[in-house]
Amino acid sequence: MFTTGNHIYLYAACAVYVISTIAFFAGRRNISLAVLVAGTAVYSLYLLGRGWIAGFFLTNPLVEGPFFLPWITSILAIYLAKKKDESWGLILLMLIAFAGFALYYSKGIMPPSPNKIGTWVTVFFMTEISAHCLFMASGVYAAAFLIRGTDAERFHVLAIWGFVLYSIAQVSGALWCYQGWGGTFRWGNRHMLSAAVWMIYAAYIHTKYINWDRRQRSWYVIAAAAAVAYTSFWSYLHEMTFPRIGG
Amino acid sequence: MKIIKQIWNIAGDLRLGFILALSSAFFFLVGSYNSYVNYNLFNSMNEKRLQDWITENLASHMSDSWWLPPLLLSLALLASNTLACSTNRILSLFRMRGKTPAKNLLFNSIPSIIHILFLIVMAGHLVTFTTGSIYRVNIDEKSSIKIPGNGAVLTVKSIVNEFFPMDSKLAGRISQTTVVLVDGSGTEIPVSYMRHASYGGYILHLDMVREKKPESFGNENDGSGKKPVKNRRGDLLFQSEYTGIKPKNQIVFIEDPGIELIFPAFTAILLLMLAFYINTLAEKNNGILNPGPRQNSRS
Repeated sequence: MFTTGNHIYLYAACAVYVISTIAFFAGRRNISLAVLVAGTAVYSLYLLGRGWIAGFFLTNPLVEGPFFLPWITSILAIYLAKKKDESWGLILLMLIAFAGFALYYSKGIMPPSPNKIGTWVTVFFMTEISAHCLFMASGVYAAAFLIRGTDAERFHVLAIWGFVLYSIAQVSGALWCYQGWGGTFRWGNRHMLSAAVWMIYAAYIHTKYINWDRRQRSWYVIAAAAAVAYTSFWSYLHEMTFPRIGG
Repeated sequence: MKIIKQIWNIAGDLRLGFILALSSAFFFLVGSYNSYVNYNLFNSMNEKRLQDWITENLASHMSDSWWLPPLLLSLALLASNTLACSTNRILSLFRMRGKTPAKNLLFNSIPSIIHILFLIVMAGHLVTFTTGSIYRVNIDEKSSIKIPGNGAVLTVKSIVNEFFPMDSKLAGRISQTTVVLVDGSGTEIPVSYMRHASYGGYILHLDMVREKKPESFGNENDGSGKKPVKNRRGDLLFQSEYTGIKPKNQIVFIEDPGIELIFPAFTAILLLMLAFYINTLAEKNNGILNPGPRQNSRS
């Protein structure tokens, strides 16, 4: 069931996410949350199934960006709904966009080379993608603050926790790089991009202390989130051309 | 004395730190783009000491590498700014001892300690880039390897490949390789992908390198219809099923004195950062927040 026809779970989960979003904007928030939880359960089955696409369990396909991103976004939406956040529907819109991208994306797995298998690889991708999700969510909340004047502090909290997770990703990524390539940092496209994103958010957490007001900080967070979205999706589209197996 | 104090205050200005962090981010972004479009040039930076690479390549490839000097300068200034700013804050916290509970003082000093640890990480990387060395040796079974610098010889006893399960979709692909080296006294040194060994002051790392593109294999735009595949770092992949060329194993002798600074500092940063934000969250939930001496732009 998991190794053949697994992608059907993806289509099913995406359909359920759409229903949840419609319910939210129709004012049926409890129903929307219940449907979202069901959709997340189906999507979790899809991710588990991706782990078995090769015929044995591998974590790499499970934590591949375009597929892990919708899952972690749905977890964030559930968390915010449980925290009685008024605007968690915004995260549902993000979820629909990410799920749509996963539907469009190549669904097979990239055969991993020996230096791309290990615990730190999994930790790195899980934390990096989760951080990307929080960064983009903070951008969406910041835009909502500018437009509607609501959720004044939420975007800041999301950006801060994104930064914490991104820092964990940098350390786990450095450990992986050390194991796989013999050094913690390489002069290359991927590492310098990560350093740039880390610096952008490291600068952001200091804006409170240089007396930037919320409007200034929200513009900054929107620009930073746009940069994160552009670079991560550009990278996903680039990887889409790689040889894959299983779909 | 007054002038020194003024210079110190400017050096530790938080606004300056903000601008320097953003300018570093900008030069990293430019570097990221250039290393993507000019992979081979910038990949060679990983094999050489930074000062050697700059001497050999900077002037001759100025249009691709102009961002490197301003990046290094802005990181150096950021390090100075971080040092001055953290020192000021630690001193102001120190002056509050006795007036503030020790627990609060400790908690309020966490961000400054994180900044100092960040400096240690930066210093570790500088040490790695300027004093580390890398020496690669192609290996085959029974071949001998001369250890750079000390004349000792290691012999390759065996190279054993493990493969993914035969009944899986990855059948026939290597999942792990273990190289067993033997030194003059008969001691065996196993090295595998992702599992280093230490010997003679070096880290022994197993690496896989792909041969240069064969002439018979098409260029990207030569109209041959064979489109080379690139990985995310931009290197061309020539898979054996397309070209008959298999990757070669190399033992890499690595001297990296910076690593002893980088990993402990990284770990401490993570633990302190988590402790700080979890405590902040808990205090927010309890309605208690003691911000300590507020860090202002002229800290």
